Amino acid sequence: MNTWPDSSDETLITIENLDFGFGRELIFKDMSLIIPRGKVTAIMGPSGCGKSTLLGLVGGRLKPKRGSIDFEGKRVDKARGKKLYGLRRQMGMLFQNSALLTDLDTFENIAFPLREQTALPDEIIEIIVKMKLELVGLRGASELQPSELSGGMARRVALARAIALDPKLAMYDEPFVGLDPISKGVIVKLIRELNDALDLTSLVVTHDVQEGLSIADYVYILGNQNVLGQGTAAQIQESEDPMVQQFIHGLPDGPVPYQYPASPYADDLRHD
Amino acid sequence: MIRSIINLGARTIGMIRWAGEGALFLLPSFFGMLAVLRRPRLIAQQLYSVGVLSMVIIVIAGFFVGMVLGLQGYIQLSAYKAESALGLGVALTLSRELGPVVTALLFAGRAGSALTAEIGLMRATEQLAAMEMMAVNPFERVIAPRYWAGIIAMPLLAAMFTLVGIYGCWLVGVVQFGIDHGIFWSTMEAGVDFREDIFNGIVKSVIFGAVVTGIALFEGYFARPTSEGVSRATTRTVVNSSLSILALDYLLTSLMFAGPG
Repeated sequence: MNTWPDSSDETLITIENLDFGFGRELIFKDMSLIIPRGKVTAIMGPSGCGKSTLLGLVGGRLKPKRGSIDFEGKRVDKARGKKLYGLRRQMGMLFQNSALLTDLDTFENIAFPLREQTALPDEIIEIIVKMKLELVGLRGASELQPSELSGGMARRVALARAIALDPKLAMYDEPFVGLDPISKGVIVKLIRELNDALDLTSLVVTHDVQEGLSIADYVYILGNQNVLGQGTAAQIQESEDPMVQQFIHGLPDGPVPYQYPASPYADDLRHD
Repeated sequence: MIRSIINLGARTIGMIRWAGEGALFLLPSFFGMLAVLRRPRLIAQQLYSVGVLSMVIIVIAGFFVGMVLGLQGYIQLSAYKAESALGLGVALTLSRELGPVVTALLFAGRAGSALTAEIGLMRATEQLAAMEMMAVNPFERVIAPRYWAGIIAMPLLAAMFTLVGIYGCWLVGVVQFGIDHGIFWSTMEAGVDFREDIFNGIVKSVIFGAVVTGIALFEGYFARPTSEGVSRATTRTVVNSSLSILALDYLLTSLMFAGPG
């Protein structure tokens, strides 16, 4: 079954003809993709293929060399200052290492965007924070400092913070990295449930094939400066692209070489 | 030959980059400082960590510096039977020079290094990026309150240093060596001028506060996001701000006290 959006009102983000790179090296070349509204979309691919960079571009922290990034009809790549902050208020982001503010406790970390972005009275903020904490199952941990939280708990707190302002888009940068199987399962469940319950659109960047395919309605596999494969989890698994196959089956060698480019081995060992 | 040209080019590019980074840092910091005035609570929080937590080291250092000045001053002045001028001499030394300078050096070591490490780690752990994604300007929320706190705390700490130093000197001169209590204070009262000595000392410490805090925040903000990068940035903060304080002090002293007339 193809869940590809077929009319434009189902699209939240449209990326067209994107060129981006640090310095002269291009990470993306003429890449186009769309993120369907209300769905969980996974962006997968080997390390260094530009998955996290894509989130930086969607969030307007990085600017493309060419092409456009459109969020609900507004150009993120052209937005600056207050306009950009206005767009970001509709986006929540979970960073790879949680990025909790270390001088604030759990409660205040989730209250932070509310205090900064709204004029809500303290009582209302308290209610909202407790609701968000309950959603991620950590209402009892509200007084703990970030240093007292385990990796999985910190990720959940950061998740609660990302959705504190009820955004339209939730972005997750490698949400499963470094977690034990139980915590991983919790995060998988939370991303799916929050997406459906809060009517979010979720963009999950991951190189965990299992979790990525299990959670996503739609999958993009990036590599070679562009989209290598796309489709539902089933379509991806049936893909005949050798690079996609190497990636989803975790084969050590293939189109992505095992060896870092080097001079011939025999030449290197020979002492003349 | 070619290597030296390459080195020269690399240095020039490095300097231009440094100036560019400085401008990129100073401009939003300035606007952030104006914006944060609407939220004095943020400045007060930083005043606690930058100012209040530095008080202990400043008070203890001031006390010992005052005692040493009292002791050395007494030994030298008593040779000329001029020990009654001890209070005045030490008060002038402290309010014009040692108060602002030593406080700024200690402030660079205690608060400046902490600021650099804090901002550097906030950047390394993506806390500043997270703020940006929450549509919060880190220059307004993080940099500006710390800048204000440094500028406000420095003259207060320097005043405290001077005051405690004078008491340290009093302890040595009056209590230990028996200089007349009344003469000790009255020569000071007659000889120290508010505009010339105390006000100039305050101006110096405000400038030192701005320089030390500015260097500390700049180094933290542009620190490489690794443990080695943060450690190097912290070292650079202490070294650069200490040297800047000493060079600036000479410049300010010559402008303030050696001007025409």
